[in-house]
Amino acid sequence: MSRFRSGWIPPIVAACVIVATGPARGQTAAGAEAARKAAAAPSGYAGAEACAGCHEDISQAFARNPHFSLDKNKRWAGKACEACHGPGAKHADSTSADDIVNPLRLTASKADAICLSCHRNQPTQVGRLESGHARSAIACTSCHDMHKPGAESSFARLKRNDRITQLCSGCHRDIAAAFLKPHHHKVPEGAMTCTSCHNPHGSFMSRNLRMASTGAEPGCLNCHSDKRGPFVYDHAPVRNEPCTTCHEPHGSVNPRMLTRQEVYIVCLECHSNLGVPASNSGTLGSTPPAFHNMAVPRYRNCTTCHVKVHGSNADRGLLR
Amino acid sequence: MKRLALLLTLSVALACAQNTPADSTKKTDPAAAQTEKKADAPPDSSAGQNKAAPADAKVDASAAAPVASAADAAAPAKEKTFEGTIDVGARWVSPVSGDLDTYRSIVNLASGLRLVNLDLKYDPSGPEKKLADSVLLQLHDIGDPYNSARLDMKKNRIYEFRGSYSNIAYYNNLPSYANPTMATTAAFLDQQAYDTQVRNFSNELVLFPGYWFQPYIAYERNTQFGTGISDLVESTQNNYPLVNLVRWGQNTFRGGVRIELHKFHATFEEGATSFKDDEGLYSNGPSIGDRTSPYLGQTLSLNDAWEAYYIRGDGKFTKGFATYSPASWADLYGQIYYSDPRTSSNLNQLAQGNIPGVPPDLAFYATEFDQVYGSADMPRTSGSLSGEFRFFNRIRVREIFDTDEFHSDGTATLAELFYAASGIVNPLNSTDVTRFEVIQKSEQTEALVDLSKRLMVRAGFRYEWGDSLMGAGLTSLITSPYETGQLKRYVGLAGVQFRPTQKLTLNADYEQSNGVKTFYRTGLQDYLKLRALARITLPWNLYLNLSENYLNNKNPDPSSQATFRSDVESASLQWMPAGSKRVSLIADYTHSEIRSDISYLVLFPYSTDLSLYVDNANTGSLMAEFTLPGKGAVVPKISFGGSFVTTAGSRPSKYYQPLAKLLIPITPRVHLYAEWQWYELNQPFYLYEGFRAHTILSGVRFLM
Repeated sequence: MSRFRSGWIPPIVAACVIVATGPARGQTAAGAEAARKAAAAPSGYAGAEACAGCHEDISQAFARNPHFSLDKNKRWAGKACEACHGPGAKHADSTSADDIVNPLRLTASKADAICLSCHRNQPTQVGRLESGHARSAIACTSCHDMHKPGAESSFARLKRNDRITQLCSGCHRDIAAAFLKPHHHKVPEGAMTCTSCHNPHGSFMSRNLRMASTGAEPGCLNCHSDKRGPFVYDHAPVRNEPCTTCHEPHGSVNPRMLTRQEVYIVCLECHSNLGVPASNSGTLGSTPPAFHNMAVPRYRNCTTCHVKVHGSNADRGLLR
Repeated sequence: MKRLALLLTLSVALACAQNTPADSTKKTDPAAAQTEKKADAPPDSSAGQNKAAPADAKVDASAAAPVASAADAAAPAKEKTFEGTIDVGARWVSPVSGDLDTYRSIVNLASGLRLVNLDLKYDPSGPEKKLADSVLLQLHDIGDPYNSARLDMKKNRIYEFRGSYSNIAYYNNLPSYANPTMATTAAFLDQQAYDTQVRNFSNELVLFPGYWFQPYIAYERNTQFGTGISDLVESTQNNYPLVNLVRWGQNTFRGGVRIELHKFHATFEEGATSFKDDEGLYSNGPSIGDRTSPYLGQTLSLNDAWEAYYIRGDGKFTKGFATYSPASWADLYGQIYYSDPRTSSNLNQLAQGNIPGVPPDLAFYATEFDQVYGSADMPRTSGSLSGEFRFFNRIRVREIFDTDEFHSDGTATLAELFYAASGIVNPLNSTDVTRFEVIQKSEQTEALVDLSKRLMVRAGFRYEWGDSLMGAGLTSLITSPYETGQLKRYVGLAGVQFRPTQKLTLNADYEQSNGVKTFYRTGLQDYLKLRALARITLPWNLYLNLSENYLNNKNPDPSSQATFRSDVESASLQWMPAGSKRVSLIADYTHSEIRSDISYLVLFPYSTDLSLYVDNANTGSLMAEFTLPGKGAVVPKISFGGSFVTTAGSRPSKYYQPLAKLLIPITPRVHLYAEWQWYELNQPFYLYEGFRAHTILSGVRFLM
């Protein structure tokens, strides 16, 4: 497995830098496209002053929104509104809604393109094509707002765990309901929130699962780093299956958020192959690990003896 | 009828059920809070898309309005440099009826003074502005078992600092998790119980020496410490609960640079970890353990024991992310990860009593001393490459390739010494080598078509494949030292988003798989997955969300014969008349069904059987808030509701959390609040784990 070494990373880095310094041409987004065309014809812009004439309340609120920092950008100084809405001179003349780009009326893909013309270049967006949100055409504006001022802005609100949870619960009602079960991660208590485990913008792990800060491992290990290992004796599904193989991470009526009501059932559903030699069945770990009589109570909670069920450094049977 | 009454009573809950009591007025003043509430009215993903009208309406209505000057329009409203809220209070918890350990394992709130919430934002305007443009400090539930903190500081174009901290009590002591027939021992808790704290500490500092070059450094720490009970297993014949002192922690240091160019972005990061895991176990007196019958005619016992486990680890990791837009019709994304964690371990164990030898040794010993040295490393390389290509105006094609490869090598050396009462020493030494390999990849192609502004459809295909090799289980060692596994799945994908009006959005997502091989018996094989969501804005300020999630998985392999079905339907209704000035209501209900059947082996008597798991759950919550008559900003509010969960099936449970809140503003800047909540858990099969308790929290809120 020496092929896994990272010796090829420097050439990739070099290639990236070469590509980066290549000729840069326009933006890709539809909205930005419009903006670029307008930039070629500066007279197409009306300027923030004109916008404020009619949209006074929005303008005042926007001035306290983090996006107003666009006004300090050389390109958008004095016309920050038009960075997203495109040139507004025609609209200012006609006052027709048809003469201005309104992201809320565009398809999600075109609205997102406007946002991504600036925000694509952020690490959180790298896995966005694999995100369920992107695939289902959930636009950026579904969660983020552009006009609200100060503490009301999504920028400020989404710094609070309870607000993030509230926002996500708006759509993911089934998940919010799971957190009401007795055994759950401490999300309703506010100690964590949805984004503690999920990256809503995308991830190359399933279910937008956030990756551990230490590499391509599930984000669960950020808090449960004792399960990271490596162990001399790995419990295989901990490594190459989601933790949800054994646990219901959002909430469960079963202790320790297990997927079954008793520990031994969780274990035996895998460790119970029927008549197929494990070595050639193509299914891992299915042969019974031992011949315990499950009718005897002391065997019914496997983890009272197999205490290192996530992995052991001392015992193949995960007994210590 | 009684059930309905209970449902109606408890059906008053959600958003606030999950919020701290400070929630409704955490803004700078009640008016702002009201504004935010209006804005948040439909907290669903349609919010953005459904609220298109106001801006344009304003244009039309005020077209003739005089144009304001630039200064008037763009000048920020006069901001306070210091704003926020501070909630302090005291909680009282009634004596817990039922099992206190279960209460502590689930709720764990206790009486005492609390800093319920501190949320301060400071935007310096004087000389302090040299240090920061903005400072945000948040503290939540300080004094409670689950608390968190956050500190953000920012100086435009100079730096940005983000720090967070969370402290979560992990108390878990459920009798049903131990051997129910275990004789009471001198151990403090049940087997596999823990009374520990998990703490997470995360900091990141980003510097902005220029627009396109952003170096950053970060430090993270994750720890757990406390006590517990863990079992000592003697020669697989008996096990004895020992007191366990737990202390582990991981430090992560990472740093990198972000390169932000017009069409290209890249992040390169290097990091390192250090890890330690110390466990000290000791007996608290003689014990006969879990075994109730003699072994080879003798009663096993443990008089004294201790165990010391020292694990040390370190590792390095490298990450790279990049996005590139080579043309107006193409976007490329890529990420690569490499990590190489290593651990070494040292276990010393001493046990005294009547100890059986390791089979086939049938002798009995008075003392056993074990030493184990182990080491393991696991290089892992993962990455993904994806691209979106817009060859036509309405069609996007997405191509995604993922890869994940790793292997783990481990070695362990065991030295055991068994001392018989006669003084005879029986040494037992062994060395073990293990290996675990995984290669897993997937490739997905999908086309998304905007048929119109209101309708998007997509369809695609994913192929997943992989191989794995691992050490065989104990009984399989007879035939082969390794087991191999394969993964092979063909998955069809489809989806639609339909937005016929601004007031209705429909989303559906469909996956169907034809699996050939799966790594584990319970893994996804032949599955069908469906998700659907409808968001509807109704008249009279009503907002309705409906969702359906369905998963049906089958593994027809004769050795598995597994079927799994999960079906979850949810409905959520919000009523916010007149922008919630006087009343607001949020209610939701979820019904879920889980049914799993899988054949498994029953060894005594040797036969096959079905493992059947059923969980039918009804979950609901509701929160009603009423604004009482008041004067100016001094407007009291009362809210009540709560949540309920009732499940039937393999572990039937009822869990109720009704609550009521009262907020009384004394002045615009000082509010009094009180909150009552009731917790009740009933499990018919585990009655000894039920509990009931009241909690009352009251305090003062200061607004700045």
